[in-house]
Amino acid sequence: MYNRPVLFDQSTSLVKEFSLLQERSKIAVMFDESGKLQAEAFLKEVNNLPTSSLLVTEWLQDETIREFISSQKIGTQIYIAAKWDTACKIFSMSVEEGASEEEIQTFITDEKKRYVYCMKCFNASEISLDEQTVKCSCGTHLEVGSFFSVVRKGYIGYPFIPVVQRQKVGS
Amino acid sequence: MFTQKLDFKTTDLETFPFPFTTGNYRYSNDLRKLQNINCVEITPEYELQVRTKRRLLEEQPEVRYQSYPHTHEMQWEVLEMLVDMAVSRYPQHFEVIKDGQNWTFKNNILGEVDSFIFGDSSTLELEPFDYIGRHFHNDFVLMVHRDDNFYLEVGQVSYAALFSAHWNKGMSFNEIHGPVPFVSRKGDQLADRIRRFLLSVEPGEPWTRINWNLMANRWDVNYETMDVWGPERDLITPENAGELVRLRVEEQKFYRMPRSNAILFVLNTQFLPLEDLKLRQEWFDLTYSVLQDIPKEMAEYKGIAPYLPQSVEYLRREKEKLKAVENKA
Repeated sequence: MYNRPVLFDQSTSLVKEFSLLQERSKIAVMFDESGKLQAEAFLKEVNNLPTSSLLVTEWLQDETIREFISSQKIGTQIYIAAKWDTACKIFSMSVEEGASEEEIQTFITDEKKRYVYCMKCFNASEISLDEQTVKCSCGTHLEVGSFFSVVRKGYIGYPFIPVVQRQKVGS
Repeated sequence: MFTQKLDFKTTDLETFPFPFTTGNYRYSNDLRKLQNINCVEITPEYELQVRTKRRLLEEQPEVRYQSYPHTHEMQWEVLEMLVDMAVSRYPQHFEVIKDGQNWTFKNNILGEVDSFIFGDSSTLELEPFDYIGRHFHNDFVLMVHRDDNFYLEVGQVSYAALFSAHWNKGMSFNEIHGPVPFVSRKGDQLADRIRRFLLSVEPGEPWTRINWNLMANRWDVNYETMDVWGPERDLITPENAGELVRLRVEEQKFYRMPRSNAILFVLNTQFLPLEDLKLRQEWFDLTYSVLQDIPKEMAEYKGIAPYLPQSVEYLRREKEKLKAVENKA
């Protein structure tokens, strides 16, 4: 579906630490090397519940991750502890397999990424978390808006012409 | 290269959907049942508007028209509705011959005849929605009903007011209206209230509401050209506001499509220069009263804040002139 949720810097899925939801009776944890500590600590905390876990290594095939997700029972709460790019991949696969955003908690172990969608050239490009204005590779200056599109996978970039400050020459 | 020249205005005031009924305006759920359910309307500006719309669609196809491939069946339903409405209301201007699935549509105003197989998109040069939309001056947006919400899956938009078919493609009604900062008297989000209302719209019983804005020497203001029209707003002065600032009125009509269950938004956008408001004293007075009472956040949201004071000042001066004439008499 074209408008499935995507992971972005303000996703409701993002958490600073995992929490157990009372209505969930089973949990599945997926993590990479960087999220191992977080994942293992959480698994220890919930050892009275049925759990399953998967270490997502660089060489692990996407099909294996997908099979792990699709084998989970309906109502399973999904936990992801990984670097941004890996987390995005696992998040997208989980959504494609039928999980809702509310059913996924994501813990990021490195920097979150943010994208701006240029309204001139219609391409998304990565920007830092605090940039308010950027110059697109097409040459357009963009003001980064707060309006996000899951279809365009970025924040809206409003084109603007920067005001050029005249330099004072001499005294 | 995209060009835009504001070269038309409403000349038949009887067809101008003047938006104000009182001297102060606030956002509200002002939907009402549509009296004449036929949305096809031929104004004196029809040919000029349609040709300009077609030019914009040619120059900026990515900006002006968006659709998903799975929508073709829904698009044919819209085509059928608009063809039937056009022929029914203006038989002198539009004709259709239906020989089973073999249709021939004639637009006598533009002198065009097209034959196609109804339901077979390969027999048209454009997608059905894009094709039929180019015969009318309106903007058309098809919102597909799913999970108690409406999703923009087809849009042909040439008169945008801070809107973009490209950017808003695939968004839900709530996402599109996310930037709308207004709440109702009860405190609930206005956009969400309208969405809930739209859920109850039934086939054969369309509804309507009127939206308005001001335009500074522009046909439309979309996100894609913000770098152009943004600075141009600063060029408005009380001296040129009468000619360059236009009251932009968007008559929105909402149709529940019986087969797809989608809602078709038909938008009739008309413009009247502030100086032409003097042709109807009541309109002039109401507009002056409304504009001088616009809250700051509403002016910011509508994108008119940079030239609203100049526009109000123009109207004030004109009112003074009128008073002076009346006093003399």
